[in-house]
Amino acid sequence: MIAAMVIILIILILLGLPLFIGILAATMLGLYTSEVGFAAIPIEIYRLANAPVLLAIPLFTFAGYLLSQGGTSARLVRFSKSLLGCIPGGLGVVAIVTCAFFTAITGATGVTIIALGGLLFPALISEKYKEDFSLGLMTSSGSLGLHFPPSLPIILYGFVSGASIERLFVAGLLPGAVIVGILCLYSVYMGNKWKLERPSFSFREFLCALKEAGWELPIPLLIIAGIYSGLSTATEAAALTVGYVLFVKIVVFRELSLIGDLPQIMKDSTRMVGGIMIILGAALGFTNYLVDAFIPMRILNLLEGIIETKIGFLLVLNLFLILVGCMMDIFSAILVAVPLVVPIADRFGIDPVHLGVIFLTNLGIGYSTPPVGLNLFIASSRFDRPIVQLYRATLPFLILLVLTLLLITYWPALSLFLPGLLEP
Amino acid sequence: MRVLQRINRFLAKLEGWLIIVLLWLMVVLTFAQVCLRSLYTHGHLHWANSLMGHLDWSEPFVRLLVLWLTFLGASLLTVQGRHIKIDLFSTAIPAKWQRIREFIMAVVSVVISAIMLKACIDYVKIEIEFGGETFLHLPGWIGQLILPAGFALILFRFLLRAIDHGVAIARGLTE
Repeated sequence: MIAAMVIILIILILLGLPLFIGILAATMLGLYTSEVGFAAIPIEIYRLANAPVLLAIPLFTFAGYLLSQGGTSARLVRFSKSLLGCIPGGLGVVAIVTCAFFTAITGATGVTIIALGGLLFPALISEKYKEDFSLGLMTSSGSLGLHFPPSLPIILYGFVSGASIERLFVAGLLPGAVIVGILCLYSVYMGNKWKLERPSFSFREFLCALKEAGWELPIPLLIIAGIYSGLSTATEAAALTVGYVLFVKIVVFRELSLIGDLPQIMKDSTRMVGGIMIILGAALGFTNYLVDAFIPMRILNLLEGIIETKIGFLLVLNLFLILVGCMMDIFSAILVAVPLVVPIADRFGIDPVHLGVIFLTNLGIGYSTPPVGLNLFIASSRFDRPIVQLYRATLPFLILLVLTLLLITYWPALSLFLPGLLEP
Repeated sequence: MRVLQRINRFLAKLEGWLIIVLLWLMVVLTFAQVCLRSLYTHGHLHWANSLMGHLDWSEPFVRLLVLWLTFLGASLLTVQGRHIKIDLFSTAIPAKWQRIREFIMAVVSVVISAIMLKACIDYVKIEIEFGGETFLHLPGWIGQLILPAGFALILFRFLLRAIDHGVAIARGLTE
């Protein structure tokens, strides 16, 4: 009976049952079989009101939605074009760097392709970049910058796994830079091969662009510096970021009005927050059940006969997470997978901070993995191209990303070097 | 049905206003806390510290706002039917089955949110009887009211969807 219900539930979830309903139903089934009352679920959901860290999520999301409106994206593109446009494959590099930067300052809330695609894709085509290359680049760039603060997936991972969010923020910097760097090199290589025309560097244009983008460029630096110096926690940094962004958008550029635009942006960003956090609430209830029923322990016992080495575990983990990442968005993927994986990874001696970076990289790749990666669909509708063309176009980028993933997974020092410096 | 739709729109408007007010409160209060704290620790201004003493309720209050905003946002998301879900087969399912799928999903969601509503009401009842105080000497259950209220709103929206799709399917069968 219970087994049949579990199978029906899994089918329903795969067919598109809202995820939080699915997780709540799974928790109810679990509690029912272990003969515990459902009162445990509201108690766990109420924990959302008892974690100071979670404040950072609505605040950073709000800041991200504010930045995705108005001219921020155009200013950032102009600036990086003036700086990087002159190298071979320069516009490709511009696209990659701007996307990563934009993803970072908007907290990785999935607005990048929508906000920047319309600017960068036509520009790439008009500068004679091959269509497939440009499509693949824009698609895979949608999940760059996940590693940089104030990425919301990092905050969620930290909250669910118990790892320090401040350390995670620092740990993501080098791996994130490596990913961005490798894709940039690829663009330079292709630009060289195609012998594309490139503009010469103009110091005057650079200064103009810098002056324009000067208000928004330092945002991630301020966050990193604030946290790195111990001046502020992630939550305080979020409050300061919102204040700063409101000031820049309303007072400096006057592109958003307090009465006209802000209410809609607030509603939109709160909807986004509600969508993620209601799953978080449900997942807290589910995790509580899992731990009470010793499920991670059982999986561990099951795995112990099959996987013996750390390397073997990491390899299986990579495959598992890419699969999860292409089925779910990164937020739900973290909420569902972290509670199961963290205790097991702990047994294999993997640092939770390193594990966090592995999670982000994997799930980011899952976004652009055929057949169902989310970025592929967003790009397909945004650029009006058939999904099959996007599969083909994204492939070379995907291969490069998987290579970096292997590097990040099997070279822990890359992730752990900077947080090591943080230790007193 | 018309009446229900009108109630739905009215509630959505109300939730929208509540979101705007609560998010503003959250932004202003957290920002003020950070500023006052750094004024005191780095500027050694004692008035900042005493002002912070008057605002000591704001910390648990903004944490509670996280929960309230979560449910208000989730409820509005239900109005649009845009909750996060796994979308493996939406393009593979033929159009005429689409509605039946939506109907089944809505019915299951109604059942689950109804159970949650019941669980949350029980939870708040216990809290009313045995619970303690939170900030400003307010009883704790006031903050928890959003749990049953949120699930009631979500339940109402899923119910509307189920009715909507159910009626359309029935009409399709009779034609």
